[in-house]
Amino acid sequence: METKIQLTKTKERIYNLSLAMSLILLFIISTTLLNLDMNHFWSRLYNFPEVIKLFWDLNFDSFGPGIEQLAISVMLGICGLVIGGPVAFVLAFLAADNLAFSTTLSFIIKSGVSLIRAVPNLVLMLIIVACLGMGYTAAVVSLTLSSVGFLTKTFISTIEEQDKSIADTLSATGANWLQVVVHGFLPNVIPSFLVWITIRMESSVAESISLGVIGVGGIGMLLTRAIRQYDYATVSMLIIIIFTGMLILELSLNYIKKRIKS
Amino acid sequence: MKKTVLSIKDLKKSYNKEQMVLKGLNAEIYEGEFIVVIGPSGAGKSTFIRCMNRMIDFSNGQVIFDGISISEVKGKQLREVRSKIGMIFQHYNLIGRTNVIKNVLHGRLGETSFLKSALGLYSYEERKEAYNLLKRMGLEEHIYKKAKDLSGGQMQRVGICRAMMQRPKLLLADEPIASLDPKSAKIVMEQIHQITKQHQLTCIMNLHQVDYAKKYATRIIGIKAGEIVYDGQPEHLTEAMINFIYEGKEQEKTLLNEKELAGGLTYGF
Amino acid sequence: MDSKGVPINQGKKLKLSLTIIFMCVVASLPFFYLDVNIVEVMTSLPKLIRFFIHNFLPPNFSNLRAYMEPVIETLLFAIVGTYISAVLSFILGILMSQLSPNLVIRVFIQSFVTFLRNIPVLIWASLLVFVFGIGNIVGLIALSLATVGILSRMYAESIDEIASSKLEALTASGASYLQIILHGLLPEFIPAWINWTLFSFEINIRASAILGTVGAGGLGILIQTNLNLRNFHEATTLIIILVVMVLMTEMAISNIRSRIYH
Repeated sequence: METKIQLTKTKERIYNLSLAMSLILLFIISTTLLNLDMNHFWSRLYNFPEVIKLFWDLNFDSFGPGIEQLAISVMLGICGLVIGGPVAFVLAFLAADNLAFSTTLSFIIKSGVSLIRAVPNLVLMLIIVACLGMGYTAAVVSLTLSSVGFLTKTFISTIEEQDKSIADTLSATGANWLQVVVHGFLPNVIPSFLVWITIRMESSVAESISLGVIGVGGIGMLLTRAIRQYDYATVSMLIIIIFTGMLILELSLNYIKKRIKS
Repeated sequence: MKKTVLSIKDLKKSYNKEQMVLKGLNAEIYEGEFIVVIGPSGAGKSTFIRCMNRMIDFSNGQVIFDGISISEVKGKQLREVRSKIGMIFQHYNLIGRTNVIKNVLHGRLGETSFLKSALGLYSYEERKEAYNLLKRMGLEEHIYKKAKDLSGGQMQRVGICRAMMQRPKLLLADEPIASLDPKSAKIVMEQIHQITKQHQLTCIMNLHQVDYAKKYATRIIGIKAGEIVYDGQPEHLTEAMINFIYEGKEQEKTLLNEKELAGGLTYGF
Repeated sequence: MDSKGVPINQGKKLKLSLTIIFMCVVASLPFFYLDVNIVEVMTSLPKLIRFFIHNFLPPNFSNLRAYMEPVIETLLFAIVGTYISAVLSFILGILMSQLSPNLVIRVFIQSFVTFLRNIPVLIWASLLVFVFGIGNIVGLIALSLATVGILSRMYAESIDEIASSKLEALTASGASYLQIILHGLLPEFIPAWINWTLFSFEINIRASAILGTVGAGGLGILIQTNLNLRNFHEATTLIIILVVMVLMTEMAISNIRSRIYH
């Protein structure tokens, strides 16, 4: 009885092998087509240690302005969220499948939001700047749109997860749409909404800092300026400020999230 | 003179300075014994059995297996020691997305090089052995099924096969039937008993079903609050002693209680 | 309604009112400090739409052929970036989890990943360009960074879950560290891994557009250049192409997802 005992059925083996080969092939083809120029990169990598030494200095003069600009970035983030939140709140209730009184409206809102999210926030910002000019207002408009995009989608998915029978029961007792929303859905969805808002807060500030790179203000702009001037010491200082700031933000938001969940 | 397989000397374990889970246990385990450890939850049974293969590190004392003091070895030697001790678990601990026969062959990993195991180069004898073990358990039809698609009783039997693949000198079992419905539990207990008897394998098992303990064990050890309060033959285990061990937690000593019936799987054999 | 109930209730109410007041202050302060008028922000939207319709439409489709290459390039970058990110995050994930070979490595990698995560991607990209110059490898690294931070953390959580429940048996039987990872962790990890990889591919398509300016190719830099030169009609075409790409990717991925989890 010398029949070999396989560990995997032949069919499965063939499937696994072809899957593995196609994945590897995809990688090889993609990398080749990209024409990555390694030589240039290696030569820069060679200088890496020397460059790192330049970063070791810290320019403490830029600490004050750095903190101020960080605060500005954070505030811009807050503005975007403060406007975007309520807007998303309203839109979500109008668009959710289990609540909507107009499927066309629901479709319009959902597609509109998808569209906003499909356009990268930087591109959105550039368009807004082209129209409104540089400045805090443009930044806030951009951040508001991003927040609306993110929050509407997540709010909708939370609402749609709720049991439809709540709505049915309430309307059976004669409640109108608004009453169904307020008494039936709100109590259940508010905690999740708050969690989404805290999550968005972090992204909003990160976006705000990133937008600074194109010149609207905040610590991103300060950093870009320092980079252009090859001011290594200021760059290091600002990076540390950004990192610490984001870390503190993350930890505080985690704390808030825990408090909400309890 | 029976050969000692395992020697436990003054075994102590504490998780923090005040609470001692094991308070200095002593026992000699001889070849071929079928030892059932009974006691209420929290008494230290789980900790005790996991100290036998150092899945839990103990604070004091010695455990000598096959001449080696297991607290003094590490790395490759520890793995060698462990490969000679088979273990089955309450929740079976199989790799759900891997098929049955591969799960059984995991028992050989301790003695197979990484490269060989990665390429699946187990010898014909090893595969045959795995297949035969499964056949004995009545599972030969399922060898290519993913482990997670089996019933509880079937999964535990695969677990037994995996432990036996190690060709162990000692078998540890931590509440092997606690997650099974009564029918499967009976079958699994029977299987473990038979297979250990056939291979003259020493077995240490945690159970809280005292009836099964009395039925299958050659020796019963009762643990209460981290101490061994009974160590002897099943016949001499009196009702009074059982009550003493389970003082305050009487509902845990029965064969069937509502929790098991409700929580146990509805699959069966 | 015992005598203990009344003071506690008052205390809670006070706490809640204070929190709400605090929130209102936090929400409105930024607007005053930055001198941003909410009404202005709200009216910007119609202004924006009018500007958009006037200057950005109709899109100029004449150069469509020429854009095929950047599109493919963007796609390739996203693919290769996803591969790199998936592998790197897996390794980092293991080193960050319970399965880490030792505690020092674990803490070090955790701090390193936190550092990566808390600095916005665009800032990283600016830094990388600052040190290494523009180039497609730099772009690729920046792209991978966009997801490695999040993925490593998610992977580590997944790995911890698997490690705490399913790998005990393999350890107890004397399997070596590598064997436990290969035979125990990998098979159980694959579903989560696929899910997160698809998710990061979606992110990479979007990020590729933004990071185009630092060398991650294709559409990104075209869009930015055209917007800067105020070639709005060209820019619109490119943006439409990008949006179509993003939406198609989303559809394709949710299709794949529903097929895997049938």
